[in-house]
Amino acid sequence: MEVKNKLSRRAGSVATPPFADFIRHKWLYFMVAPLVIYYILFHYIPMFGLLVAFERYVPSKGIFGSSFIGFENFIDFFTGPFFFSRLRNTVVISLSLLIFSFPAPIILALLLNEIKSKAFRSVTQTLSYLPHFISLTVVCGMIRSFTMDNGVITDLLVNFGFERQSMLSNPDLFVSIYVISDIWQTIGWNSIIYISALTAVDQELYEAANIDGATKWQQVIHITLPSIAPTIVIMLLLRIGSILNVGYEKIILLYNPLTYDTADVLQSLIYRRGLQEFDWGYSTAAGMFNSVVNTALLILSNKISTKVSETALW
Amino acid sequence: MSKFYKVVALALSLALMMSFTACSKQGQTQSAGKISADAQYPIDTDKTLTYWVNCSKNITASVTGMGETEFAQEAEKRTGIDIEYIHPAQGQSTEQFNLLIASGDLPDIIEYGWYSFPGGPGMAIDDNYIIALNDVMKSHAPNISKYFDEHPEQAKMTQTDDGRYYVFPFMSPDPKLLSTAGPIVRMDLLEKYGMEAPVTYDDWYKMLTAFKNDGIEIPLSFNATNTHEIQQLFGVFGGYTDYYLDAETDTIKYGPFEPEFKETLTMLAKWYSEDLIDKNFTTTSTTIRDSNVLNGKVGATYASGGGQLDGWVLNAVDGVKMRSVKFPVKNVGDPGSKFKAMAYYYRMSGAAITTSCEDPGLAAKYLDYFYGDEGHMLVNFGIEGESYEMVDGKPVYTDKIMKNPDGLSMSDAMARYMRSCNSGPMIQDVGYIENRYYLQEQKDALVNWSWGSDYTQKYKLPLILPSKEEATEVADIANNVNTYRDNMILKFITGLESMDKYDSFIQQMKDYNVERGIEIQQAAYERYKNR
Repeated sequence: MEVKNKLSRRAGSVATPPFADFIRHKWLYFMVAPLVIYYILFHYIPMFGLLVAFERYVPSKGIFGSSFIGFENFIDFFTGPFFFSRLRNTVVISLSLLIFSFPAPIILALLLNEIKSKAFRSVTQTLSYLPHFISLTVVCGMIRSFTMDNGVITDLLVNFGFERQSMLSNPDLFVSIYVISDIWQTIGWNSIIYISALTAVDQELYEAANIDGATKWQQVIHITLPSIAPTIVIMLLLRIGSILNVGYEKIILLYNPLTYDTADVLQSLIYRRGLQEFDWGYSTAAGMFNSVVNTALLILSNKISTKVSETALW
Repeated sequence: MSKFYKVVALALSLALMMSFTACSKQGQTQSAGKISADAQYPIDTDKTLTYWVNCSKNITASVTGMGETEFAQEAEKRTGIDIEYIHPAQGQSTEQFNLLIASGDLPDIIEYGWYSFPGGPGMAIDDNYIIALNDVMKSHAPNISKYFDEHPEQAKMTQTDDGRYYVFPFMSPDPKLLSTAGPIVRMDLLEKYGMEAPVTYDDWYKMLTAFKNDGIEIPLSFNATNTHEIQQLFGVFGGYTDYYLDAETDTIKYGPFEPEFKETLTMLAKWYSEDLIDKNFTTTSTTIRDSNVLNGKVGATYASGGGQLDGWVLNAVDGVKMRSVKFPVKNVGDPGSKFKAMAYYYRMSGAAITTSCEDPGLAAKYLDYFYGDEGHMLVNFGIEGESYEMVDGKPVYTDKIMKNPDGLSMSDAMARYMRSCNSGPMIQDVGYIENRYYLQEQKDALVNWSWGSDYTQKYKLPLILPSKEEATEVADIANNVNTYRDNMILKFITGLESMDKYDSFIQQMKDYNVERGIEIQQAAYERYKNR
């Protein structure tokens, strides 16, 4: 959407009448209209719901009829005994994902790019997508049974001197299990965008490099990576913008009271309070905190990125 | 042509007038209904009621929703009232109930665990979701009114402190209906070792050790993946994880503060360290446990009598004999298990009429049908001649249920004809369990598991209700304490935390204000006694 606006703004500067831009690009505007309406209806109007965070909300009395209690929900949230440990868990899991799971599809894309046999490449690529299409519940069921004390993965690891144990009952292993399974789930699907970016790289650059006697490795470092850097930066920025949103569905499907110390994140806490215990005000307040932090991080990292790499979301 | 228009205009205005009179007529029947309370079924009405209820997976095994079951169709025929059922997604009933309430767009009837409504059922009435049923029951529901008159103790359970009724309740007024799950052990192995069925915790320890030495992979299989299951585990082995009523002093106590809790915790930690308990007990599922049992890997477990025990008896291989035993006690001669899992007569759920319902009288009449003689038989046993026959004055399931021609399992077939196998607005008949538990092993299980129920009953926290403000406070305390407590209990058992930390564990719970929680519960208990 942003790109389109920029385009039209640029085009608009040519014509003088105020609606000329609309008239000239009416079909583009027509095409973007559903999206704009969608965002207004489902993302901007619901923001009034944030009022709930300052209320003891009672649905039958509505947003405007419920009693106003100021910052009580926020105070509850910040002073609750679990706030800091859950915030820490969230950040730990998120950063681990950023460090390990984010680069994985880039590496896969680079590797696939070097494969000469077309048949082998498409088979590998297709196979790597497959986990993306398995329902999360099923994936988590698989993880749970594979990591039991007699599970397949445990059996495998025991051969390498790993202690036989029920892995999901060990709080120390939760983050690793979460991140590794995340890589398995998303590596193929997320690599698509990088693979498409790679096809756009000018082949002549490689030819020139070949003539100059650059090795494969040098080509990757000096041609391929810089060419797809804008894509990587954009993806990274988007990722940073959701750093407090760890996929809580997967957490809920994998954790148990024994692993709360490392597995319980802000969003699962919000889920338990909001959806299971009907504490709407509290969970809206917590959700608002989440969004504010995420937005702040997004803006900050975008600023940094503009300065450093000239690639930015806006 | 103008003549034609005139005719049309006349016809239209006539139609308009007719609809007005029709409206007023409807109004009349409504007010008339209030006078003739014991209206005969079927009721002559063209109204449809919307009915939100969780749909059991036994129903969805063969049809898409309750509306397609023989039960619902027969009920519609007999009461004359069309019901449009609305079901939440499977396993999502709490979340979807929450969304339903938050949406403000309520159906006429909501069947739910209203007792546990946050803030208490009284709040659900005060906040204008559902109506207090006292008046409408008096005028339109003679059957349930009569039942309450005859059973004041049970009526008290289903009220708020100020005497308001909020649901057409699901009642199970027989001890046999309340303990349908319990300990099950490999009796064939006990026979091989020359051991008797275990009675005390020490007997259990000896038995589990014997299992282990015999090469049984999982001597004791037990799921403790959430608050509820952890409570069950403790209940079986003598401790309690939450508030209970101490019968000797008639006061409310908090289980973890009492010595028996520490004993149980120490014992379970010892068992775990000696590999007597399933290493996966915090992550496993019933499905996995069930397959382990069928493969003969499990020595003892805790399971339900209908759905698990029967399957294990019927599908047993290699001489495996899974049989029920009594709940263990500390010493021989103890009157029973103090904290075994046992339901209340009032099952804490029922059908409430919402404030959106335009004709509460009609909804009440519909629901009340199931508390009358005919309705009672329908909701408990289904249709005579189809799902049951009367044999010597007792209802007995036909082959449609026992050996369903379409290949449905017994539970799935029952769900088509009756609601007693799940839940609903009804007085559950003891004949249900006697029919359902058709194997001798199941009948034995009922006897074993309901042994000492009177004793257990004395210690159960009555169905008390904190006041609105207190409810929020109790919920806040519980939120913090339960998360911490469950986490610590499992850490103690698995040895991640040493028992030396026990005192700081207790202190931390006190810091989370559990003592205030006890006070609130005590006050609520006093009010309960005065209902």
